[in-house]
Amino acid sequence: MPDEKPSANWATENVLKELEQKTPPGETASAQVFLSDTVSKDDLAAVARRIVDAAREAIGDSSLPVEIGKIHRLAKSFSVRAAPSVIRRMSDLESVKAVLPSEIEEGVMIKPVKKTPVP
Amino acid sequence: MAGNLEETLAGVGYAKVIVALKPTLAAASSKAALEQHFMIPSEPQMESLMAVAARSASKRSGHPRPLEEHKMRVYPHLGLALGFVDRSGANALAASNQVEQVVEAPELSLIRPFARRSARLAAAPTWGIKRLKVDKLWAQNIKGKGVIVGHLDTGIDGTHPALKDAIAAFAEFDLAGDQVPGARPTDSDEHGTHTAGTIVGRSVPKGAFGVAPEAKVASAMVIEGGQVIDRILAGMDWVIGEGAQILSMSLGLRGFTPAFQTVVTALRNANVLPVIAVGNEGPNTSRSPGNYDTVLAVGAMDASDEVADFSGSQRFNRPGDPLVPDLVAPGVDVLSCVPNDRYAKMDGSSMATPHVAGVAALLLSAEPAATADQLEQAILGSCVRPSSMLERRGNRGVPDAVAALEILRSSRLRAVA
Repeated sequence: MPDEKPSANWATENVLKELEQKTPPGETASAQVFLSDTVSKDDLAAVARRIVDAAREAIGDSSLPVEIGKIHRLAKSFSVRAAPSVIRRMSDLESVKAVLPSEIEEGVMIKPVKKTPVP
Repeated sequence: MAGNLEETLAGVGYAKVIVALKPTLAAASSKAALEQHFMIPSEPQMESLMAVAARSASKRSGHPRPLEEHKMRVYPHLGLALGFVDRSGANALAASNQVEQVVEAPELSLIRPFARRSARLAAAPTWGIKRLKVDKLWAQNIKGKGVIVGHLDTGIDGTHPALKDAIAAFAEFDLAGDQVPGARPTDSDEHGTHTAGTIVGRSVPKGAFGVAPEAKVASAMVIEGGQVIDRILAGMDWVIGEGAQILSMSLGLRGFTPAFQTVVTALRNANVLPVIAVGNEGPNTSRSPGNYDTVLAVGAMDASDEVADFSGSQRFNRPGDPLVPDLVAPGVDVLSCVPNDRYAKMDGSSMATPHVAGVAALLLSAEPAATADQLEQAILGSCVRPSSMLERRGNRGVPDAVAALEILRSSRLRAVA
């Protein structure tokens, strides 16, 4: 019986590995970062910026390209485009709850198992 | 005992009552002890009750009917029991230390049309409509009027005759997750038009398949492709802004991820009921966020009252609501509209989910002040699992729109009391 931990495909480590495998060296990947419940939704932009800065600082290269995308207050989430190594450092931070790839290859639509046109 | 109950007992000798139970009533033995105070009215008694209902104020023209299998029915989530009692039973219940309150159950009131028009249904309701007893609410002119249902999907064909005047708002979120200014209602696939048709489709010669044919959707095109997570989150935010109190989502990520828990909690805090498909990957599978205990998760059943083989189901190691889906609804051979003035039958939990969202819309149109929590509890409380259906696959079973409305009105009365 599974508990409410992420399934293997959404475990952060596996998500990070997939991002790393699919991103050519020197290029960036896109990910969705979900923040902990304790983070206030009122200053998410500042929190996102601090997370990015902390990740770059941990790597020791503040010039690494990072682009913060949309910030979703209700979801306490933001999208980011950065080198996979930066995203990995971000995921280490306590304020980050989960990381998902921005693009889901298998899709999210629950496709019908059968379709029959009605003339 | 309340005044109305006294009057009915004095006049008829019997009454249908709602019993508010104390939280301690859990053991089966306690329920059995309680059940002895209820009774099953005989046919003449039923006729007498109906006559009283007919004589009473015009707002009370219900049709009491005996409970088929048990003297009473317990709704554990609501902390209520429902059944018939005579004077001695009512007194015994009122004196019981397991009971907080005994009140007469309100009967559904028939809202007669102000003016009768010849625009009858052009075609027969689908099997799904009938299975959920939705047509019985239609007969009372409860059709979803005034309700907006959020709909996140592949879009919607705004030109389809079955969706005429059914779209309150539309938003297209492009592949980067940005809202496209001035977008017109279109469908990037046919999935969204089909699911929207099940929620709010107007009656057309091909059939009456829209559960809430006078409700409207606020529909956002958020899938497939692109930065889909960004698109879905933006769509959820947009739906709240459009005033939707129900959200139908036939989408999800395979497996479990807690990533959406914060936004689902935000939806609930905003008084929005998320109705979400469990997935089509069969037993021991589910999708997120349809597998959260904070959403109304829907699986698919067929016309034979069997859970469809493909319908997802999974038990989680969590204290509250461990089993998904919460319930099942018609999801096989579901007729609805698809783009370009066409129609199709589809199978999937995606097809079952809008049935339940539509039922929620009907309930909300009948009780506009109902909260999302009350809608959810009424739908769950109305469910009956057929004997052929395994609990681990169908959980609570199939909702009953008529019973759900009765429960909703009862719980709201109780809240007021």
